[in-house]
Amino acid sequence: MSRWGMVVDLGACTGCGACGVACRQENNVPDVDERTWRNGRQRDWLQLVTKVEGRYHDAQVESYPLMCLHCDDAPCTKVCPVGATYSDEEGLVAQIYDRCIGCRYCTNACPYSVKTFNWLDPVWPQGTERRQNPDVSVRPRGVVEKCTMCHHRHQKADDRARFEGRELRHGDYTPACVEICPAGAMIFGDLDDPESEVSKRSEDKRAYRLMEELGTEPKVVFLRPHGKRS
Amino acid sequence: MKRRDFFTVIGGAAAGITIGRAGLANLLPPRVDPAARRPSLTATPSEREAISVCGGCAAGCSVLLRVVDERIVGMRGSPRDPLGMGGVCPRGLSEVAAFYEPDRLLGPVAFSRGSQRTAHRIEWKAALAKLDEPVVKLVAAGRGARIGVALSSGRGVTSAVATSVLASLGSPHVYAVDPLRDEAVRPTSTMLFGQPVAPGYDLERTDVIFAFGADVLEGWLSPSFVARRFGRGRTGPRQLQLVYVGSHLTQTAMRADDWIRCRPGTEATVALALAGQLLDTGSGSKSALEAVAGLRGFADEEGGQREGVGAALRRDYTVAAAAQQSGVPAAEIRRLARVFAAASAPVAIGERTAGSAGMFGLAAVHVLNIVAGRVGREGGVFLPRPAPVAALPGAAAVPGRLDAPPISRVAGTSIWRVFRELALANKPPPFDVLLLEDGAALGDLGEGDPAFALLRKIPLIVSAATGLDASTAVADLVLPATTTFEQTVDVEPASSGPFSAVAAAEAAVPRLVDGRPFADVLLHLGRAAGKLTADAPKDVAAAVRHRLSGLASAEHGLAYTTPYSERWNAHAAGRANSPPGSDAGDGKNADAFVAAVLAQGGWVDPRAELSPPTAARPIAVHGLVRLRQQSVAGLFRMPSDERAWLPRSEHAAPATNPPQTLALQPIPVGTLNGRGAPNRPALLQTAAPHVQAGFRPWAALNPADARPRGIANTDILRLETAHGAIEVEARVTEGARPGTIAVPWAPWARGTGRYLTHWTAGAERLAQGVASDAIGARTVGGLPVKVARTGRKA
Repeated sequence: MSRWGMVVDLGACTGCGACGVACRQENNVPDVDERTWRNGRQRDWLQLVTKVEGRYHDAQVESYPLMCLHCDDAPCTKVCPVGATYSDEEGLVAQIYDRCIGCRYCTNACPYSVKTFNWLDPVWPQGTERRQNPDVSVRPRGVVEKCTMCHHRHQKADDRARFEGRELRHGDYTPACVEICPAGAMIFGDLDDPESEVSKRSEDKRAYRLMEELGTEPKVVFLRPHGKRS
Repeated sequence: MKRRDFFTVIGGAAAGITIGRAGLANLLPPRVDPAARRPSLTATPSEREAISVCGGCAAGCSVLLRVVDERIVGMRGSPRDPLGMGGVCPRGLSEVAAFYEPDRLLGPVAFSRGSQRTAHRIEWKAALAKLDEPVVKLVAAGRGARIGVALSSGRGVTSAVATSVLASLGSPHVYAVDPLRDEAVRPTSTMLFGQPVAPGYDLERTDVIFAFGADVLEGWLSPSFVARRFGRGRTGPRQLQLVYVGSHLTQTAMRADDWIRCRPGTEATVALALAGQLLDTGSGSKSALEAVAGLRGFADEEGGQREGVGAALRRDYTVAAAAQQSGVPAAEIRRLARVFAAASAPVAIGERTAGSAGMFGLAAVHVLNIVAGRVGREGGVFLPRPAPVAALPGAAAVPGRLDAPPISRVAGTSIWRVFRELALANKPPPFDVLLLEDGAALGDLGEGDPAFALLRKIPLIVSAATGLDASTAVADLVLPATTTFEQTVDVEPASSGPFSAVAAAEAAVPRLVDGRPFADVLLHLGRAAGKLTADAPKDVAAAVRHRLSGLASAEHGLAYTTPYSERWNAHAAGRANSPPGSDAGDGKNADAFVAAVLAQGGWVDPRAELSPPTAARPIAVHGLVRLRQQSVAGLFRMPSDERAWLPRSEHAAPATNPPQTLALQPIPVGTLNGRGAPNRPALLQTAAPHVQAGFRPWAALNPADARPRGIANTDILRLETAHGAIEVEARVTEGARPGTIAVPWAPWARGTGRYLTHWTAGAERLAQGVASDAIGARTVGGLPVKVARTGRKA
């Protein structure tokens, strides 16, 4: 059984945002207009977070893509009263939209604020619904959604492997953000496979996990940028 | 009325109202989209992956489209593409959304002239008849030179067809209009390297990049290539170092190893001080230094003695002087010079926008490259080799272009700058019929620009575009164009490597709307005038195949293939002795070869051949380098192919921070640039925070400047200079240098689409009529700006 995880090398990441745009396209995340955006009602499964600390002349910048970290000890799964969010056998934190009652306990429990409550029905202006990915459902108003690590791709890859009578191979399953990253800064794979690149890179001396002290054991690992002068 | 029809009507009305906020709704016919239908829920979906070319910018990335039931539902980079190698930038990814854009034009629209412009939908037959009539008359009267074409890109089949057809009609007037952000590139190249072509950078072998205000990580040249190179240089054994010199915390500054904070508009000063340091310390290549004519001094055409660049650098751009002007400590400048000298393959990259620091800025950065011997060397600057595509059959080139001396000061000057000069000189418009493609960067100008007034005097303007853009304001006829996904296309990618390439593909999906490729419209025009030869291509697909047939007979090069990339990587990493090549096909069956190129997504000649600084390829400064000595009038007299010079610095002196003004720092925003209007909310709302466009224009200022003025985030500010005023949303951030105000260039500032209704102003509006440099571009870096709150919030 695999334990899927991701490494994001912030030394290689250019911050271009392609991962976010690819995620929106792949997972039918609807676009919003300015008013909805200003009200904070947009749905972002993956967003670029930038923090500027200090004053201009000694400013320290931290910038990274943030999505659901698929924690091994996910706080969100513990508070869901209806079992709509849970960790599957491969460690991915899943969300069942049909079961979700929209209580938002999970969004409050998540220390990384990566779960989105759908305040509004998705709006697809005339004709734009034709670009919807048929592999991913369009979520209605009143449910919580988040990054699934493109679980539908896992299902397809699994089906294909089964059809071909073989085990899932390395590279069969890759989330859209990892596939598209032009800098190759995102690495995905089986954290339990000592030979996998993701496993090796997650042990890098630059590796760290967000809010490690909380003990949530995120399966998305970040690599610090190389040393900077300023 | 059925329920579904009712909602269609309501939806159409709502769309019209939304566009109305852009001031364009009354110009549009009611929207009826015959192709709009919901995906079938019962039929078994058919799924395929189709190869195509991204049309988002000039980089020409090869992409793979996921097509389900003939709908595009996904996109990824082609792993065979030698530039992106499977990566795609966010702008490219948003091309899928642009394909289905709700504001996309559905059919030809005719506009009336006058103060009350009205529009009505017409059929293609009527639209073409409206275009044919004056063209046929002009050609019959021997006045074909009164026909002009302005393109958004000069690299590919559309440009080739336009040049061929217009030459047949007797016109030399085909102009590729570089967007605002690239405006300085070709004229500067003309001056320093003798050719109006954009130089390339051998980043694959560069080990240190010095970016002087250049947004190398934000949509520069080929974003996917640069991102891949940056990423690989940071994870592999060979490290790539990035030094950014600039005032604002841009995305590039954020990711740089070293951010050198200088005052706005003084990046060039730092570059010249580094060049001076290299001269002083003898760190540059001795042979390269010798190749720089006029280093020690020269006699000008009147026999007068002039000083060379070396003397001028040592006098005007000493480390102490540069430190005082730029605010960068002298020790820091000396350290940077040591870093540059110690690197094995450094390269300096300047900002491409003429208006930020003027051509002076980019030319100064190239002087650093020249002095350091980085021109025509591995990892340095070079002139790209054109791909050996076959020329289209047609008449010989016609002389008399407007963008070359003596009419224009420097070859490569934007045609709209030439229009501006003509308008200011009260000259009549040079054309009777003007065809525009994809807006042809008209949105860069701003409606107050004199060029617009001259444009309006042209009797017939025809625009070919996928959606509403700035050309709609002046067009008599708008023809819906196809996207690159819907037509056979070839594009020579904007050079990011020392090899030549052509991205090419057949139509990946059926046409979504009643559009036609612009090249087909041009070929129709040639036939209507009876001037096309019998062997002229019948349509754009035939033109592409003809052009690609030239590649089959080339000695080197091959269709895009995955093994190629592996071999190239091995070569770049030094594990192979020679670059791959010469297995492009045996040349015996050109048709099969062309089919292979189209199926694989393109062709590449991977030989890493750098244009040497020789007379055959006059890439080095072969003329005289002059510094701050020539007058603008003198430029008229100077044949561009005989002299190379560094233009006078014409940027405004950096503001000394009087309490009531802030110094302007224009910020290029990758999202807003490129072809077509960026009416794409995914880009507007999710791009990186420091470069994101947002839904309306903004200005970033430091908390130290915001606090005393009572300014907070989302306040609407009024910015005013001596040359213009705009209203923008405030962003308070420590990323802005104290004493400055950063405002994005907003080239598509006309509210062209439902998501861009507030994008009506940018930095260029603060400089209407500012004294121009050699190419007539406005230069705004460092302009003093008055800032006031309006009392409103965004």
